[in-house]
Amino acid sequence: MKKTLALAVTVALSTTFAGADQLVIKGSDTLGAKLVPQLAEAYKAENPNTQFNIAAEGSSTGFAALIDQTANIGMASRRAKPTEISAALAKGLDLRPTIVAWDGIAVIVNGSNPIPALTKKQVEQIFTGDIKDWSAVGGAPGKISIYTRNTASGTYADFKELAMSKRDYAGSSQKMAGNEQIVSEVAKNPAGIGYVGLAYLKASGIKVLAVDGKKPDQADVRNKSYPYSRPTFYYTNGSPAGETKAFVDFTLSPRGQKIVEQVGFVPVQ
Amino acid sequence: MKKSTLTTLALAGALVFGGAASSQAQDSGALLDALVRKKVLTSQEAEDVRADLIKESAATNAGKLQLSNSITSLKLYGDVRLRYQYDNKDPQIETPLAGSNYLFSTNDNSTLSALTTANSNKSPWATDAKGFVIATGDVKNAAGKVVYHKGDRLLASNGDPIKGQINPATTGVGAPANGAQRNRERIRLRLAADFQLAGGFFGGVQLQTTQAADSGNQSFGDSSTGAAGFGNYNIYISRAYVGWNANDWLTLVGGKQPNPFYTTDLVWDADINPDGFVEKVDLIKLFGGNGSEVVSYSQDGKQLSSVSTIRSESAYELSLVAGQFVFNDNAEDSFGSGFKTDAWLFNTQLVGSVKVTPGVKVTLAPGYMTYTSGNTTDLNNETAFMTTKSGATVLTNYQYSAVSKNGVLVPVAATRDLSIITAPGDVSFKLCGLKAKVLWDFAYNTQGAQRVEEVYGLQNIQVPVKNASGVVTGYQSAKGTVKPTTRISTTRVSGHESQDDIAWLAGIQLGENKKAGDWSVMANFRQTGLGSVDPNLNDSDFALGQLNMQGVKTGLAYNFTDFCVGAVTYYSAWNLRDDLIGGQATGGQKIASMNGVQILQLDLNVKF
Repeated sequence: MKKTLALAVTVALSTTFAGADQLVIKGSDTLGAKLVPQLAEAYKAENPNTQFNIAAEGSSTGFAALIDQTANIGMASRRAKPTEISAALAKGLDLRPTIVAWDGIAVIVNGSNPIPALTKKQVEQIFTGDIKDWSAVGGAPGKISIYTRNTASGTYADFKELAMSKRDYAGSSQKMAGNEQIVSEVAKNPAGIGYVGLAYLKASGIKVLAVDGKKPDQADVRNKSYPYSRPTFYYTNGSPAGETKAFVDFTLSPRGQKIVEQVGFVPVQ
Repeated sequence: MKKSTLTTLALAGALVFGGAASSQAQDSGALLDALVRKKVLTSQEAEDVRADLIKESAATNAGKLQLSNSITSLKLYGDVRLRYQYDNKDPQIETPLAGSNYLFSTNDNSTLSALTTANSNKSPWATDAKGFVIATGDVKNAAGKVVYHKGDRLLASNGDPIKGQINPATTGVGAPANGAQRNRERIRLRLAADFQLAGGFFGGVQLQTTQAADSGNQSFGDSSTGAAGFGNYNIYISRAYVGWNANDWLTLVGGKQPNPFYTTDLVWDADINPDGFVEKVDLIKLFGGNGSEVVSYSQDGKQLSSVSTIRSESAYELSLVAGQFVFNDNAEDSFGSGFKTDAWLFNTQLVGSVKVTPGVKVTLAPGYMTYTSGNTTDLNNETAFMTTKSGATVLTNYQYSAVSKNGVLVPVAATRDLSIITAPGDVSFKLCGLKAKVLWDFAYNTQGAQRVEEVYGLQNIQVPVKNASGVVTGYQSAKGTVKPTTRISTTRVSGHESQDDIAWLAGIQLGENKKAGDWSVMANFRQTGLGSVDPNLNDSDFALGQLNMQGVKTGLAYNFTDFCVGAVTYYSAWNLRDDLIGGQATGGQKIASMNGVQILQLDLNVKF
């Protein structure tokens, strides 16, 4: 009973805030850890009455919040699954995507790792556990430590599809809550390997590997010649309106796209 | 306006090239990407189209189906078969054995079976010139009181005299004295799913009517299964297995699975899905060649399987298939050695084939199968051979035990003394533009003599002696020839002959049944020696699964539509030996008690 009451209050407050000056934005850690907070700050500078409530716990949580109608915008680093679209339709909702930036999932290793590049096949073999030792890909002998995102993450699903032929991750892989945790662990572990979005490559102690000869720079991500390129999204219920539309428009505006680039993503335009 | 038009065109294009939105939304991604690359659409417009397609797909019935993310492909299929079956059985009854019972083909068997004989070496009854049953001596009732004197007519309970024929009986009083006919209208339902999973894993499940391992047929109105009075049917799990393609040459499978062997129904009824473990090794690929995947085999097409034949485009194939199956799990703390041991079946086969010319292919599949010696109980096969009746745990008489040649009582294990070399094969070719096949099978039980004498208990055989007209005039045993109506005391002589150890089949097939208008014909001849194969595995249709039989199987099938096949199949079988008496052959579980069996099956099979 208490739980039901709490939920009702939460939904009511969220709806109230959403209907007034508060934007509730939930979902992707890739977008929500850096980019969206900076966009929100910039937007607030011009619209001081607008309050933001941002929760970045993975793309799945963004879709769930949209379907539960507890968020105005769902941040996503992947497309909505048919199951999520079905669930939304069942509630009379229409999940609409807006591409807000392009991202490349970079494969990173510890800065001391001598390996400069991998092939797509090697990446798949490493993350699925077929290859367990660095010596198998030309590195110094030693067991490979794999760091991945957790299952709520859109990047987790995207990487599985883009890089692993939809195979399962190695049983030994360690699941991290966010990109920054992966960067931190790989920077500390000479045998570590992981993947993160472009916005997280400026950290020290890590090295970005070329994949099939391509590194995730802006040009290769935008023209999709980098193999792990992907769009990132705002999802809304139908076409955005009101304050939500204003924030989406701001994100796609030259000023917003400049912030996109500054954070490390690739602008849409 | 321009963008809107382009978006509409792109959506239409995606629908046209990608197929119906309900099933193809996911496949339109490549087309949309191409349109973006050619700058027909912006990325956002492509994303809008993609979202619309998925939304439309999700709104359809198909889109509401949710599958596990681990499934990479799923195939659902099944069939319903309607069958009319006519059986004509001619049981073997010339079987005088030790005991006090005689078989009476009269109008009142119950009266007779309540009486005992006054003369232990002679039937107490005879038929007089007028057809009435009369006593040949004093006949006592169960209390020992003389109720009939010599020459008295036997009276039924209502006082009328009984007419009928007197014959020596098997140990089981009441066996039919004449042929028996039976008509059945039957149905078989099978529902199956094959799935592929990530990482080379795969599996399948199948549900079907009836529990019998060798038949999925449910007779309409069958009171024994509760179907009388329009009762509903049970459904059973006939397959549940998982497998793993470890690499391109090794496949491992565990569970209740399709028969993995290249075989015919001489040895394996095609309805049987064995329980256990299978390893398949593609020897060509193992040693670096370009081999083919060996999945499952069925020469007669009875197996419901999406992959039922060798699949290959290469000229040579060579695979090793090994199976370890749990035939009967026994509790290790049970009484009797046979009950302590699980009955495992081990079967290994080398399957090789070569394309002699582009249109001619030869396949050979030598193999070896053997069991651990275990007892079997509660089998549901149509002609089951078991060691004990359900629930029995004590060895009581010869039906459940055997006497070895030195006179020592030993427990019988139903899976004992089966050590069988098999050698099926075929030559497939084109004849007048039709697919044709000459096929054969061969099985030799190297322990056939022990199987016949010790497991089936044929030490007490008495060979009928016939005159020139074929009339039985007496029975030959170790004690000499005796008259038909004389009961012979237990005398141990060997009942085994070398032909008991061998089974073989040779046949032809012409045509195939894949699409509307297709037809096929087939015919084969076989002999199945008493000790040659396991009666729990062989075809339950030919001679109703009986051993010691020979005969023909012929069939014609026609595709009315791609999915609907009509078929006529006729079996005619008769005794391989006509001198088997007693033991489990004509007594006990009667695994070889038929003089002849004819079966006609009319099928209408609808696949979906």
